[in-house]
Amino acid sequence: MRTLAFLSLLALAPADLPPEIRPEDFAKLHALIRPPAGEFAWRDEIPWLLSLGEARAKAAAEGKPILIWNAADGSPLGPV
Amino acid sequence: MSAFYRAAWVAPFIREHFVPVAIDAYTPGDPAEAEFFKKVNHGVNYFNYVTAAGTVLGRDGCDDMKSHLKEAVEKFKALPEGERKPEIGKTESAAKARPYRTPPPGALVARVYCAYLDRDEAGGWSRAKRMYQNTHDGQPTNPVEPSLTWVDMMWLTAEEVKALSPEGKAKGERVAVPPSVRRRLFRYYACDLFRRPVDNVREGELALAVDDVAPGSVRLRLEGWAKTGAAFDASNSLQGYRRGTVGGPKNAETSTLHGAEFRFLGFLNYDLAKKAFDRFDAVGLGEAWGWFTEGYRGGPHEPRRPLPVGVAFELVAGDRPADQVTPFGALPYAFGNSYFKEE
Repeated sequence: MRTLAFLSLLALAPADLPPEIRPEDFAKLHALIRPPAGEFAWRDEIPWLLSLGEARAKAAAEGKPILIWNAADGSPLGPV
Repeated sequence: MSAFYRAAWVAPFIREHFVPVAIDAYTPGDPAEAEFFKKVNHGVNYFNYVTAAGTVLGRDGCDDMKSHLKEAVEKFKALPEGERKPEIGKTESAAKARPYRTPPPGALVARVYCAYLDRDEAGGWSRAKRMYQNTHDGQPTNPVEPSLTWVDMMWLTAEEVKALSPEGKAKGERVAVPPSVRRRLFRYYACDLFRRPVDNVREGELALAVDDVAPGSVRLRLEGWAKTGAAFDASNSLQGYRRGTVGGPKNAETSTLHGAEFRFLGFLNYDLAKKAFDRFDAVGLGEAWGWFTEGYRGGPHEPRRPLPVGVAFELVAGDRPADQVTPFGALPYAFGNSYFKEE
């Protein structure tokens, strides 16, 4: 992370914008907005498939039931 | 969104006992898959527990997950082996593949998170302690504490990655940002992602420049700002607006009351040998407003006010199924296939 004076790349931005993001605050903000540990376990710790055909073949081979999670307006693993 | 997200036992249990598959109900697959889905599926936003042969073992609504997971496993165990390991034959149709988009070849894939924020006592930022998942008759319902995180994906095409390459640039030199990248960042991500992308970009600026050059890699800085959707106007009251109905003094215009204003800062790293970015970390910090945003934050408040929100980008490899899902803005039925456009 730079410690030198941070010279903005931008032309004169409107005065009514939210405050600039300071480089020294970046890492903390990035971590703050990211999900806290465990919140996305349902997404990241489960080996989701995206294909019903693939799921059926795997379930039949392994002798397991299938969990089908469906959502409208996109994948449930995405913005729903 | 549901308590499913916070129950610690669920992920390990599913890993052990199920073959999990996540489906966009609007694009369930090729005809064979669509037929199977229609046979076993109860409705949208459900967990369906089924055998490979299509026997239904149970289901749970996504907002009310109970112990039917465990019951489904017990039911499955009680089935004869022939039903637990059925001969299902060919599972994929020779018909045309589903219109489900995966990242284009050579794409940069990033996850994008969105979180509601508050100012803390020291003047810094904290995550909002509470949000509401729905509104009913204009009143917020289903509180969640602490506030949840939204997730979306962002794709940059191979051509756009090439255009963003800093190869040959010296420290301090700028890299021109393609109009399509600027538009995509602002149109689809300079907003409250809980509500969905906005309809327009009022104005904005995006710049990329070389911060440092090292053997084999180049570090870049991304800066920008954007004003999207409708400008905030506190005189536009949201009172009396009922979701899904026509009514209220400005109901016909409430969809235009959503808007946001953001600042962006990002740090990227480009691998010269691989000709690819191996870091794409960015933050957008701003304010958002509108019926959904204010409702999710416990409003509408009187007087109305813009509410702080943050977005964060991080690079992912894109090889895991969870990271191959289509960005909301790129869904073929969402925005008229405008995700990759320049204007």
